[in-house]
Amino acid sequence: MANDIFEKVFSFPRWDDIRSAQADGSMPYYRLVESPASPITRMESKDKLMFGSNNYLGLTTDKRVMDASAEALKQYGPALTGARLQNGTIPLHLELEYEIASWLGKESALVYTTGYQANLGCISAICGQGDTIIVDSANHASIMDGAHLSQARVLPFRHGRMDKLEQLIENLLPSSTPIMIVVDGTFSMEGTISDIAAVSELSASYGCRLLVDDAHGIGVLGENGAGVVEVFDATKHTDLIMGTFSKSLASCGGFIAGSEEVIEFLRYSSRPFLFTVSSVPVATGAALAAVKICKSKEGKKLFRKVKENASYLHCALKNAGLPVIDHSKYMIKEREETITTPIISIEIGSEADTVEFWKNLYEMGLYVNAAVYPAVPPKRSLLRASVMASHEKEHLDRAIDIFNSAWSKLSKNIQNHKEIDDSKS
Amino acid sequence: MIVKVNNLTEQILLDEIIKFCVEEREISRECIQPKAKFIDDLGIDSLDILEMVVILEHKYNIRINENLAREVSTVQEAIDLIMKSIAK
Repeated sequence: MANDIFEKVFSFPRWDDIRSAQADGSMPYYRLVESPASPITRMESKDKLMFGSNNYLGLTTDKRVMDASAEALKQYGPALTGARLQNGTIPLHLELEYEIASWLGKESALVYTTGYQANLGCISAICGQGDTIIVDSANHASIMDGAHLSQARVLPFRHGRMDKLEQLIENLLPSSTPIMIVVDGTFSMEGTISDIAAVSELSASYGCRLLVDDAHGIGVLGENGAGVVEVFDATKHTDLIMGTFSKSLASCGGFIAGSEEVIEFLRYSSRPFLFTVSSVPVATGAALAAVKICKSKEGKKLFRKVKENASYLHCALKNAGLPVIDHSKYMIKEREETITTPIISIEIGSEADTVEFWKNLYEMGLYVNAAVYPAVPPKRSLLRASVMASHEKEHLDRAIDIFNSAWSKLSKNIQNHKEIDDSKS
Repeated sequence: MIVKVNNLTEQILLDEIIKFCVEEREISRECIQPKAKFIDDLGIDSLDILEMVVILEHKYNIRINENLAREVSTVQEAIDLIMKSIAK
């Protein structure tokens, strides 16, 4: 008899935690959503203030986006039942690719069915054995999975440390290995951004190639919403930009933008692109409408509003004494500037305290995201709140009141636990 | 500066690890013994270990498997891994 391959399922070390959280109602994951993602969202038969979506511009309920999606359904049906290579390319895909490339200042773009596949497909097609991929240690899982799929050597540098990145490149240079640097533009868990000016300069000066995953920055950051690469005016030295439609762009899917030659190469070599059904017409139609809104004058207003909302919430929580992670400060055009992202994260540390805080907020009518290991490093659990351009001041103020009330309760509990621990020792 | 591998001994590697820990992480020299555990005793994590690996690769013109390097838990295990890498 062979050993049972399901043994790792039976002995999964998190079963106890999962079952206990399910039993006492503190499970922060797989909660049921029963309405569109808007400032007030119906969840499990109750209205909740939604501060845990990636719908930064609030476009999931925009009539133009919904109409474009419905029109695409009417014209092309619910699915194309084929890969882009075969019978899966419709004019909407090509128009979307054209609009993205011109928006981000690149020659061309390729639309993938999901954002995860965009990273997986790009990195695994471009890199291979004998190559080296240098990654920020806090990069998204899809980058790490794409890097490992490629069979290239993967070397991380400590999160955000440009001195460590440069040291790594310098130590690798004599080996003549081709190097690709891959960084998140906007870090989804903590709401900070990479110093793309420094990364792109290092990449260009050492002859590396650079891929920036700006899934959470595109459609928010920069005057034109083109993301962190625009903020740092680094388009020229950023070889490839990855983004998704599942955040600001109110849909589902991902893309890679770059030179015509590289994109054409991906079109014929990227296995996660070639061997997947193309994105469904409703998603493509919605994304295209959202991109057009971002590129219009209205886009600038939305980018401004979401950042105003983020600053308001960030300041209020920080002033109330919550351990909020500061947004990044960088020199932009010779002036120090705080780069406000829609993500406001509260670092709690302990997983148990984080889950308790999450549960209290949820019961008081506020939904945010709980992030525990492995989404964040061990003992660095956090709650992640995200704002939308469609949040009104009233929503923000109610959320702040709930945060303050739950924080006061948690602080007392933490103090009690500490006193009990101290008395035992 | 690239140094010839032929002269690389366990003692030299221990000195290299001590140098890295002292200079990069300001760890007391006395703490860095062969039996010391990187994470528990020295506060050195897998990112530090990979950083050290690349520095040693460059200096001694050797290649160390980064996946195996992530698995080492003590100073002696790191030395053993590097010695094995040289022997290949």
